[in-house]
Amino acid sequence: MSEPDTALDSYVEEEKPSTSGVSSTSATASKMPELVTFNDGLTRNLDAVELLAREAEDLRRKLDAERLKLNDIPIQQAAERLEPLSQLSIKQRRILKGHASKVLCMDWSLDKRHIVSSSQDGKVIVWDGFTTNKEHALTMPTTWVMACAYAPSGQMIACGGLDNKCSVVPLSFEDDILQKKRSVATHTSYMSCCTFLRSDNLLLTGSGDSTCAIWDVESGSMIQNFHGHTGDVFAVDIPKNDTGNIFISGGADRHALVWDIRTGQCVQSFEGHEADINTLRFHPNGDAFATGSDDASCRLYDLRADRQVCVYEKESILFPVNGVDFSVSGRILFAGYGDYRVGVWDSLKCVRQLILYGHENRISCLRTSPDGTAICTASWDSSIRIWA
Amino acid sequence: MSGRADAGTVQQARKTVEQIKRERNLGRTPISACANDLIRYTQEYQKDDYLLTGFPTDKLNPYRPKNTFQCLAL
Repeated sequence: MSEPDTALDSYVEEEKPSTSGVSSTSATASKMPELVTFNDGLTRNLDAVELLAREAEDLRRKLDAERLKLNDIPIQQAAERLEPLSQLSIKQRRILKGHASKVLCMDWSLDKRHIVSSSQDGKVIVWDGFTTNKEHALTMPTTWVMACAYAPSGQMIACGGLDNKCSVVPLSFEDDILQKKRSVATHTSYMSCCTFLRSDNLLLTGSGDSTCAIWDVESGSMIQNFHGHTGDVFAVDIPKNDTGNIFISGGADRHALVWDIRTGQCVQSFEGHEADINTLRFHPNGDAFATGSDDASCRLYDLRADRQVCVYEKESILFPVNGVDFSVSGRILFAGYGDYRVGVWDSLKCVRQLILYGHENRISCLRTSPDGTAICTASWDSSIRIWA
Repeated sequence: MSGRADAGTVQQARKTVEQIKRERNLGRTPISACANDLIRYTQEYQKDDYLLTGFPTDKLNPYRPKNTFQCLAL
């Protein structure tokens, strides 16, 4: 199924035996004899780079054409036979107040009631969502704690940000849990997102240094790193059914990339957004994901179709999307915007069903609870709200 | 195109071409099939989706408004 190597290889590296001859699919191959000179190694390399670039462009065009062919019917059309969503009764149920400055990130515990949140002034707080009590509060030695995550066991949290690190703190009711804080991940720029992978012992991070990495929590060593983004990574996500070997990441280069955890290779890449991707989340079925961007739209991408499926946008929506998540069945897509509102979208019919008001500043993070009974939003207005 | 064309740049360009070739070799399914899968998934899990359907009684909602409880210590 793979294409025959082009004869380009035989020009650039003379040691290699000539391969199957000029490929008929590559238009550049027929032009080669005139362009490549053997006088000077530099010239040879320059021409090789240019030829490879042209081949890359040609292949990209073919790839785009193939992807275009797949758009046989728009998803809205397939969803026409579905009943439109009935009146949704989602309301604000809890406000968690306690942070003194912008809340940048939050995460649910798997016990469906505890929440960890981190803020611009360095505070990380663990809440009981049902009672709104603060169970733990710690002050990190850095401001702008941009990301935090709850370990699957519920016994540990991870957090970090402008310190270029991701540290873990075991939770206990002793006096000073900050003593037990250990730094696990180290990047060469700010850490923007983190999540535990399959267990308390694996941490996946994304960073402003444009890489992602997986770390062993106990030893603090890097297990795998992922190079490919050409800009800051702003978000990573793993499938809800955490048994596969992939994860997704998105960032300032407007691309969403799918990575193979074992090999560190990028297996698929998706484009379409016209500005930074701030957030992305897998669909509960694990085969699709949604992204939210500075271009005020959310998009649904499907891994099997290898392309964008639809866009969730309206002319009247102008503000960046900073948080997206699906409901348990995937029918609803929640999006948190910079205009302080949460948009509730019918993900299949691609229409907005409802707007949730409440926050008094931009929403920075949005997550559905593990059992799908509620969503939680964090905002620059220093509050965290739970809607159910 | 940068001026520095050494073996590293060639290597980089070659890697890009290989990456695109790999991506082209993926099997793809048309949107109609993917959309139907998404729809089927939604229909299967709709009953478990409380944000979608709401709770049958308000008592089951863990975030229901709480009644305040008052007692007198005698």
